[in-house]
Amino acid sequence: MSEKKIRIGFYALTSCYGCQLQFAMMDEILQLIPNAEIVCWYMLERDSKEVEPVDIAFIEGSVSTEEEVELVKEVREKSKIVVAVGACATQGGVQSWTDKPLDELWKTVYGDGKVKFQPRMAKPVEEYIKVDYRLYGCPPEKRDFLYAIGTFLVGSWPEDIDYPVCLECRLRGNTCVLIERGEPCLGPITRAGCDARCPAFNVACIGCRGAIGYDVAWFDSLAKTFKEKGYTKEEIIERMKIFNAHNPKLEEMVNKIFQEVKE
Amino acid sequence: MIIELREFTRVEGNGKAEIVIEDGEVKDVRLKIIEGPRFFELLTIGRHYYDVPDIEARICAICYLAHSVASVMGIERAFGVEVPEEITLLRELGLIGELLESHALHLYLLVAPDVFGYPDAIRMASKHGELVKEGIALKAFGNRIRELIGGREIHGINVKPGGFGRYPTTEELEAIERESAAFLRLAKRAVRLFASLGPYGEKAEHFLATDNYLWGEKLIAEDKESFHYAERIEERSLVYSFAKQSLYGGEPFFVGSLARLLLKGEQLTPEAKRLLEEHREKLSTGYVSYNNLAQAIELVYALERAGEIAKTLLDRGISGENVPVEPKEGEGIGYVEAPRGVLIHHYRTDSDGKIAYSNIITPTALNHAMIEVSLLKEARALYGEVDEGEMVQRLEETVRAFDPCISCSVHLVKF
Repeated sequence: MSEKKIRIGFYALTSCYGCQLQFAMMDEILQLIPNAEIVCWYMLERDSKEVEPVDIAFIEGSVSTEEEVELVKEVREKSKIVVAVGACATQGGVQSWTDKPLDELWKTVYGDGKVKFQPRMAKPVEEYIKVDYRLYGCPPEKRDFLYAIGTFLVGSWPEDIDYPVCLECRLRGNTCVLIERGEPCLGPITRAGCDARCPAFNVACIGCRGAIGYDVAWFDSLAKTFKEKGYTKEEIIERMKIFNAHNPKLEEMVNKIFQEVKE
Repeated sequence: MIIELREFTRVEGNGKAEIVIEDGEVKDVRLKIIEGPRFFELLTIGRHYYDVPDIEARICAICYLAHSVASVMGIERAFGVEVPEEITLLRELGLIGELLESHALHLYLLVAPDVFGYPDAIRMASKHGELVKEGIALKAFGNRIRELIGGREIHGINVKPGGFGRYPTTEELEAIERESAAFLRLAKRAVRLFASLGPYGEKAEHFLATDNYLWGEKLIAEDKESFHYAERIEERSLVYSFAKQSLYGGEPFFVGSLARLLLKGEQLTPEAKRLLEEHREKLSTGYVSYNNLAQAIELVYALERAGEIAKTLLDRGISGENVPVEPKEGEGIGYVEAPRGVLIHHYRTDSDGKIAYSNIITPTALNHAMIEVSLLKEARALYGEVDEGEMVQRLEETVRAFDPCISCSVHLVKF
C-alpha cells in the first residue's frame, strides 16, 4: 500500500440519507481510516467544504433541482471515480415520476405558492454525468460498500451482478412467496446481492436493487405469472415501476403480455 | 442585509438558514429547506394499499419504521382492522429499536462533538474513543431490533397491515431481554453527560405528543385532552422553503423527546421516571436545548421498556398470527412518535383498497416554526457579539437540539 491516502467524498442529492447512514453504520469504516481520508461528508463533519478534488466520489440521491445538476457536474470534474450509490442515484428512486408533468404536481402540492428554487423531475445521476460504478439497493448492503472500496484500494474494479434475487432465494431454501402464496414478488427480475433479504422474512421482493441489466430482466414472463395470479396490468406496471421508473423496456414488455390476450 | 449561512452539517438532510439584518439588528431568521421535493403523498394516490407502507418508509432512513408503522396504522384504521396486543407490542418494540438507534446516533455522534469541542465524531474518537464506542454499540443494538422487527436496518418491509411477514423467535426475544438490561449502564452514563449542556434556543410554550408513549389514537397537548391534528394544528406554505410550517393556536410548538417526557412522564419505566424527577426542574423550563438531555433519559426508558415487552411476549408465547385485511372505503389516521417527535399519516381509501387521499406531517415540519423562533433568539443574542464563523456554529447547535430530519420535512400537502 502506498503512503498516499485515498481521498473520498460523500455527496447527497435529494434522498432519505439512508445510503450514507448505511455507510456510517459500518464498523469497518474505522479500519479504512489509515488508508483513506474523508474529504467531504456533510452528515458527520462540521468542517466539510465545498466540492474538492477526490479519488472516489460517492453520490447518493436523485438529481431533483437545478442546483443539484450543477453539483453533480462539479463533482464529476473534480473526481477520478464517480460511484452512484443506491436506488435514487442509480434508478431515480421511489420519487421518480414519469407519467405526470412537473408543473401539475407542483400546483397540486403548493397551489400557486411560489418557492425560490427550481425543481426538476427526479432522475438518476447518470442522466447528467458519466458514472463509473453503481452500488444498487435501497439502501445498498454493507458488503456492497466493502466490496467496492476493497477493490478500489487494491487497484482493481468491482464487477456488476448479472443474476436475479431468485437465485439467492433458492440457495437459502425459502418458500417461494410468488408461486406458493401468490404475492407479487419481484425477485425474478431484480438484481441479486441482498441474499434474498425480504423473501427470507416471508415478504415479496419490492425490487429495490433495480431490474437486472444485460437485457435479462424478463418483465414479460413475470407479468404473465402475475396475470395468472390475478393482478391487473395497472397493478403490475405500478409495482414494477416503484424502483424502475426510468427503465425503457418495462412498460412495452408488460403490455405485450396483455395485448396477446386481446387478439 | 441578508446573511446566508452555509449548509448545516451533522444534521440529516440539506438545509440552511438566512438571517435578515435591518438597521444593525436581527429582524428575522428563515429556515430554508433546499432539497428537492419528492411528492410522497402524490406517489401513493391511486395506488393499492399493499405497496404504500413500504414506499412511505423511504421518506426517511433514520426513522423508516416510524413511517411504516404510522402508514400501516392509518390504513388499518381506514379499513376498520383491529390487531391484537401481540402485534401492537411488537410494533412498539420496533419503534423502541428505532428510538435507540436514532437517539444514539444523534447524541453520541452528532451532538457529543459539540460538548467536547470537536468538528466531528471521528476526530473526537482520538480522545473520547470509549464514548464513541458506547454510542456505536447502543446504536447497533437499536438497529438489531429494527432489523428483527422491520426486516432490515434501513427500509425493511416486514411491517404489514394486519401483522408481520415474520415474527421473532423465543431465542431472539430472550436476546433482547438480556442485552437491553446489559446496555442500561451506558444509557445512564449518557444522561450524566448530556445533563451538563446548558440552556440555549428559545423556551417552548406549547408541547404536543401522541396519547400513548410511542403511538396513539390521538394527540395531546398541555391540557391533556385528546384531539385529532386538524382540530388544533394549522399549516401554511413558505416562499423560501420546500417545507411547510405548522402552528398550534397560531403559535409555534415543540414535538420530540422533551414534549414526551413533560406530557407523559407518568407512563415511563421506573429508572427513567426517577431520572425525569431528578432533572425535572431543568427540563420543565422548556428550553429546546434540553431536548438532548430528554433524549438521553429516553435511552434509559427504551432499554427498560424493550426488556419489559420481550418478557411479556415470552411469558405469553408468540402466536405469530396475522389479522385478515379486507379493503374497504374509509378514513384513518396513524399517529406515531418518531424519535424526533409526532408523525402523522392520514389516508382515505376507496372500496378496492386504493389510496384516495394522503396527508403526511412529519416532526421536523411540526417543529419548523419553533426552530425559527429559537434561531431568531440566538441570532439576536450573538449578532455583533461574536464573529460570523462562531455564530454559524452556535446556530447549528441550536438547530441540532431539535434533531431535525430535513429530508422528511419536505412535506407535500393537500388536495
